[in-house]
Amino acid sequence: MTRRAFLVALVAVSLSGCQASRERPPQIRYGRDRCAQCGMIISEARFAAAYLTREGTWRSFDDIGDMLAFSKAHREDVAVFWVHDYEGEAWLKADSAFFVKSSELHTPMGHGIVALGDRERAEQLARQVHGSVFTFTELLGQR
Amino acid sequence: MTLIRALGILLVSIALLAPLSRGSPTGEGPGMRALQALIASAPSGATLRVPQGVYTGPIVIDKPLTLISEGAVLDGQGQGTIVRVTAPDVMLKGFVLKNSGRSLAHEDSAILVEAPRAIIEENTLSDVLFGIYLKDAPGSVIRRNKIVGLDVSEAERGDAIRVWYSSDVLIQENETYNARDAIIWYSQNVSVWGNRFVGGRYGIHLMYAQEIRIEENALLKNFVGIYAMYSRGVTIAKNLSLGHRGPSGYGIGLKDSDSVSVAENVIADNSVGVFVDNSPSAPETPVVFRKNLFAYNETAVMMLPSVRGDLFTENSFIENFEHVGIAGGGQLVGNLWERNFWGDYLGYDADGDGLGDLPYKSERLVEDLLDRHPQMKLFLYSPAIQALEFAARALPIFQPQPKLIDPQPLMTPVLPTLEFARAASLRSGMPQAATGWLLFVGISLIIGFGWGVVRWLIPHPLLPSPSKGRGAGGEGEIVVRGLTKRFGHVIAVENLSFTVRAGEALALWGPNGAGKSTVLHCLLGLLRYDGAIALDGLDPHRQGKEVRRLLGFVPQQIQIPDDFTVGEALLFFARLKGVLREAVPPVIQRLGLDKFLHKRIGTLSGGMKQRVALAIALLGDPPILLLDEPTASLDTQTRKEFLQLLNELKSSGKTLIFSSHHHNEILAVADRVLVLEQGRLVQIEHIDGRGVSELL
Amino acid sequence: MNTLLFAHREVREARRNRWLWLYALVFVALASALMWLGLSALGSYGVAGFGRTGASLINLILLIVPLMGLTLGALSIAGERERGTLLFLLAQPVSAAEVLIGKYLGLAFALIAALSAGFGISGLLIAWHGGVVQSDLYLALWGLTVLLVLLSLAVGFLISALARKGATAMGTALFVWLLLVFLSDLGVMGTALVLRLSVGQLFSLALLNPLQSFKLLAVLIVQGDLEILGPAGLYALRAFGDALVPFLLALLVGWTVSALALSVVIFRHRGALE
Repeated sequence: MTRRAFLVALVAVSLSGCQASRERPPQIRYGRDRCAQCGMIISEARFAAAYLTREGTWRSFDDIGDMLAFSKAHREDVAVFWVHDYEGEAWLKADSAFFVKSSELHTPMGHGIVALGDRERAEQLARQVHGSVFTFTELLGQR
Repeated sequence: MTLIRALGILLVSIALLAPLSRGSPTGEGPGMRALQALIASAPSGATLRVPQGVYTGPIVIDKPLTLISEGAVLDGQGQGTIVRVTAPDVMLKGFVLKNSGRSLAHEDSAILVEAPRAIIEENTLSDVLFGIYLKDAPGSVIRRNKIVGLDVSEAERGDAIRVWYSSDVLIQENETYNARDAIIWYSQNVSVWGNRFVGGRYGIHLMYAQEIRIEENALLKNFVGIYAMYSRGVTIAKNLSLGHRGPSGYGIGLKDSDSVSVAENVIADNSVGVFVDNSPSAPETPVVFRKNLFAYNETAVMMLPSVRGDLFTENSFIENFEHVGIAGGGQLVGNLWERNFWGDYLGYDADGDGLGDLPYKSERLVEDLLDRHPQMKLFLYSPAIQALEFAARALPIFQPQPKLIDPQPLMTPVLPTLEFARAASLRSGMPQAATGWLLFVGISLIIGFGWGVVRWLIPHPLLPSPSKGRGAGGEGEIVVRGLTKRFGHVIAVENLSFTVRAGEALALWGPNGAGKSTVLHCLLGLLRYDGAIALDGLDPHRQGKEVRRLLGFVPQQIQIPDDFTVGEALLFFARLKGVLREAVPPVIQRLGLDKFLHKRIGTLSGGMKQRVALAIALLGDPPILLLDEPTASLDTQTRKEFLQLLNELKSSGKTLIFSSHHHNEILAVADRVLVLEQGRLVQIEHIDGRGVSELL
Repeated sequence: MNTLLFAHREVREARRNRWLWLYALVFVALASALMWLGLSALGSYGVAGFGRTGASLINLILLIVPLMGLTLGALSIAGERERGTLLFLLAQPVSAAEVLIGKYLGLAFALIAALSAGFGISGLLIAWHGGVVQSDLYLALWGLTVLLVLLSLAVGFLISALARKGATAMGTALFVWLLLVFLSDLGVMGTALVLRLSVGQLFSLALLNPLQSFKLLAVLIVQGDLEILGPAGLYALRAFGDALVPFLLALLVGWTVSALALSVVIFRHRGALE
């Protein structure tokens, strides 16, 4: 192979690894990817969470509680935390979501924390499962 | 009495409206009412024999009862939980349950037990989200059930068995397929014995559980065989854990678990045999691996570098790609490796005590590299990896620190005996017929190859002889204008022009290197050249194949593989030229080759070889013959005979061009002679005796 | 039609080719030995599956099969050119492409026969030993190996069309073998470590070597998954999904066809004499 061809190939491969964006929600392959904290396979989207570090590394979790525990233990510089809406399964940025915590919520790791897109639904769920509503900042503070 | 009964039915019906409100079922069948009514009317503690028939769910068992199926099928119709047990001491035996709801959020189950001491026995569950769900149901028994999960993607499955805050539970001899887990949450003193978990996510999954005994289970082809997380006091013994593959394909995984004993298991064919993460998590709670067999795993034991306090003793490590791996690289410290058998141990046992006299050291450069840079696993199985390993062994500078040292390794493996293992093993066997066919094909190919069965290609009647395979026709006129040929800087032929009339014999004469052969090769279209050549108007450059059909070529010495017989060679070239089979014998006769047809080319004399070459050239009756020093390697007598042949051909009207440096040859055959010197035409002479003798 | 004639002639020649017999013998012996060793231990647990033995078989194939294809291919045209037989063939009313393709087909047939013998005999050993092999996987691996030998034979022909002498061709073939089997992988590994390439870049770079395509497919056949190849394997599955197998197959076939096409072009240009 000529040197030029090699360089072309190099450029081609380096273009393929493009930078992750802050606005792009995480991509988790359910039933395949593993939780960074507990090592379990992430099966259920509605409990799954992820964050992106400023270095551009994604960390995925099977339970919001595991994400909190992991970020506390590893103290990484996080650009954005993502969680799922418990009911609609849409990705939400954690700082705009409302969290319900209750032992009646059976999350994969038993932390009993789920996220919802608006306060109203969060309070409704909290009444059903005898839990309480938190913001993400409050959750981070608790731990 | 009948009044009370009717009232009961009414009440139950009302009670049933509640769950029905969540998405209506397709009408409540008479069967369901019958079963629920039966339950309602039965006194507490009674035994109900449920007759054959299909009963639709949901069904609630709200009093201590023993329900024994006599062929009853409970159909959830894809809605909610099929059977809900809300009273203690209920026994459910021999039912077929199918089609639970599919909502993970509502944890739709086949059987949900919410009261102590249930016995769920010998039921068959299929197409259910959750199978048997014990929720605050201590003292229950789940025995000999068969549970088949939904055929949906992994993420949409529920647990085959879920034990939730239920202590003192026995899970025995069940079989589950395609479910998520058999999971035990927040429970103590649970026995999991003699089950078979196939194709699930985690075969057995412990979450915050304590005092769990997992024995004699077969775990096959799940994502993970047994995963103990945040649990304490776990005994895992005599299990078979096979075929767990994938990014977390662990035979057994331990995460933050303490006081774990893993003994006498067979852990084979997994991506990782045993995965250990932060276990033990507290001091004085050892994790012990004893007498296990680790075989055919990619990595037998994978540990995080932070793990401390594990003891591995009397285990056998056989044929794993890597016996011990360190996730993320690093060093293992604080674990004990004693008296294990290592398949790649190279030491000896001089004193005969069954223990190696040299310590076993696990040190492999490539393993170290792959632990540190897992993306390099892409090159696994590449010979390059082996080369690297070999280099590392040869040059000890590259050796990393040993991952572990077993001071007294066992000389022979201690293999656990699993009574059930043979039966449970994966028998996805090879259909013997297919093997047979493969072998048949393989062996017949060898034989065919060796004995030349493929000969059918030549005499095969199905290969048609091309119809235009008769004499190539044509006049045999050759026009050459300005022919120039360079080989690099060397000029072989320069600006050569000549014409040959049909039926004429032209000799190319000159010393070696004069360019005689080059001219012939250009005529054959075997070389690229400048200038123009036309043979009967055809251009060798662009119509090489057609031109060669007009030409018969005789080289100085014929080059045919020695093991061809004369007959075979003639037949081969006849086919190549598209000549009819019938056209071959006349050529054979003409050149007197009849008696030599079965002789191999290698055994022929030089003269005979040239005759064969001429015969080949004459196949297809081409109007022009090119001969490159045809007599150079012949003795005087054979040369005479050969020249006579050429004269006969000439008189039969063939155009001949031949190169030579024998003047008597030229005198005998040629009409004209082209004299070449260093690629240039020096002279053209007609052969009329006088001039030529001067020239030569 | 002429192509078939040349193919037949080549098969006939190949039967007398000592190299070919030697390769076949070595392949049969090693494959059988591997199967035997892989199966003799621990069969009683039913764990001695094809996976493990298959893995070592992949390794063996990667080592030997390209050597077979490259060297035999390299000797074919260059050898005949040196002996002068090529000149005589091309002086007949045939085209250069017919000669080359015919020779390619003939040698390919001979090589496939040798490989099949290896697979057949090791399969026999497994069956005799009562081993368990999924025959569909075994056949798939055989088919893939056939692709590999066709590929390396085509590259061998390319070398042969380029080389002037048999010895040059042989030397080049050995070097190319070394390059494909060892040097390129080591080079990519080194590059990746030094430049800290991402997994995707590493994967793309590795695929420049067609042997890697073969290996990935073989691992897919034997293990049913690429996850054994770590993050890069996962990347491949994620990036290509279902298109991975067709893509890799296309790479193998593409290499074969382009090498062969290129050798036809070169051979037509150079002929028997230049």
